[in-house]
Order: sequence, then structure tokens, then C-alpha cells
Amino acid sequence: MASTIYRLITIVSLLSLLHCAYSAAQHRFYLRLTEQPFVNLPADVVAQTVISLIALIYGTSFLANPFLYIKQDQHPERTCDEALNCPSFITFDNRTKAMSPEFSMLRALKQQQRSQENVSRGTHSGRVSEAVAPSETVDSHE
Amino acid sequence: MGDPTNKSSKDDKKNDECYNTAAITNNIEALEFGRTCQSCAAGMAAGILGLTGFHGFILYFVSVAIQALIWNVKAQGNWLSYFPERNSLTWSHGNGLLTFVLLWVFFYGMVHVY
Repeated sequence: MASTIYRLITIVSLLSLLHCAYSAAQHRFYLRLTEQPFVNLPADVVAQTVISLIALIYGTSFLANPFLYIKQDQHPERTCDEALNCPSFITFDNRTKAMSPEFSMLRALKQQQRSQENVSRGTHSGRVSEAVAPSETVDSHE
Repeated sequence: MGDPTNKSSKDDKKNDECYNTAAITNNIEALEFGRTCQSCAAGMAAGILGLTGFHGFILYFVSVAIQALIWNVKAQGNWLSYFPERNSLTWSHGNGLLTFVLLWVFFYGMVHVY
């Protein structure tokens, strides 16, 4: 997307520069016909040339490859916490959970869900609810 | 003269840093492309404006300054994290000047002589 904009800037300024060349050539041709001496170009042609020169430099230097970070660490902006992060040692299911005030609420919610599931499964067959029951007893002892 | 020990330790510190060669090559390609296009554009502008003698070279060096400014904007101000040294003003002038003179003469001839 950005590259399209820079390509557009480059093409437009190049065309503008060529248009300037044509205008300057026509000015010289007019001076030759009217037999006037050449002093300098009209100000609008000069202004258009300078503006399209700057636009062309801008467009082409952003059209080139984007600059890459040259140091070996390719992610210089990350913090210590991110760089030294070692996810395999994070335990999400530990005893601290039981001490937090949210835990009782969560457990109540879970039990509610489970009982709802059991009710819905119980309508299909009795054996499934028997198979689920032992795990439920383990959970309640936690 | 100064003290040579301090200087050598500074050099060692500089050499200790590891650089990613592929990234440096990529950045230098970008610089070379930018310099070539900038000297083409400056040559065309100098030819169109009908500059002769030193005025043309002044235009070239003004465009070099503009290019260096744009490169520093592109590098977001920290040039040294993209290049090993500060060379935004000095990169590849031999190539650039030859390209510049070629297009300068060509456009001067096309616009002002014929």
C-alpha cells in the first residue's frame, strides 16, 4: 500500500520533470523565433523543476528496500521480561488458585455447568453419568 | 597523540559488536539505489535549468544534502542501528557524480542546444 504511494510519487514527479524539460525547450524555441537573448527560464518552470526534483528524490529513496536492523538481535525493542521469558516453567494449575477469592466463585460456576451437562447427558443414557461421576468426586475434594 | 590504550579499547568495543551481514547488504543496496536515482534526478534538473560550470555541482551537492535528510528520516533518526558508520552524506559519490554528469549533459543538449 505504502509502496504504491511512493511509486505514484516517483512516476508523477518523473513525468513532471520531463514536462519541465519540454517547457524549457519550448521557451528556448520561442526566444529563438522572436530573436530575444536567453537570460533565464521563467519562474514557474524553475519552481516545477525544483519541486519535482525533491519529490523524485523522496519517492525513490522510499521505494528502495526498507532499512533492516543490522545488529544480531533482530528485536531490539523487546524488554527483559519478554526476552527472558521461559513459558515451559509457568504452571497455571497450582495451589494459589484455591486461595484466591475468585476460586470459590469459579468452582461454583463449574459445578453448575457440570450438573447441567449431567442432566442433559442423563436423558440420553444412564451409563455416561456414571462414567462422569468419579471425576466429579475428585474435583469436589480439591 | 592522545593515549593509544584508550583508543584501542574503544576500537575493540566497536569490533565486539556482531552485525547481520544480510541486513547490511540490504541497506547498502537501498543506499546505492537511492544515490543513483538522486543523481539521475539532479542531473535532469541541472540540464533543464541550463546550469553550467560550478552551479551544476552546487545543485548536485544540494540534492545530496536533501537525500541525506530523507535517509535520516527513513532511518527514524538512529542511523547507527541500520549502518555501521555515519555515511549518509558520503556514500558513493564517484558513481553518483558520473551519473549526474551524464544526465546533465544529455538534458542540457536536448533542451538548450537543439
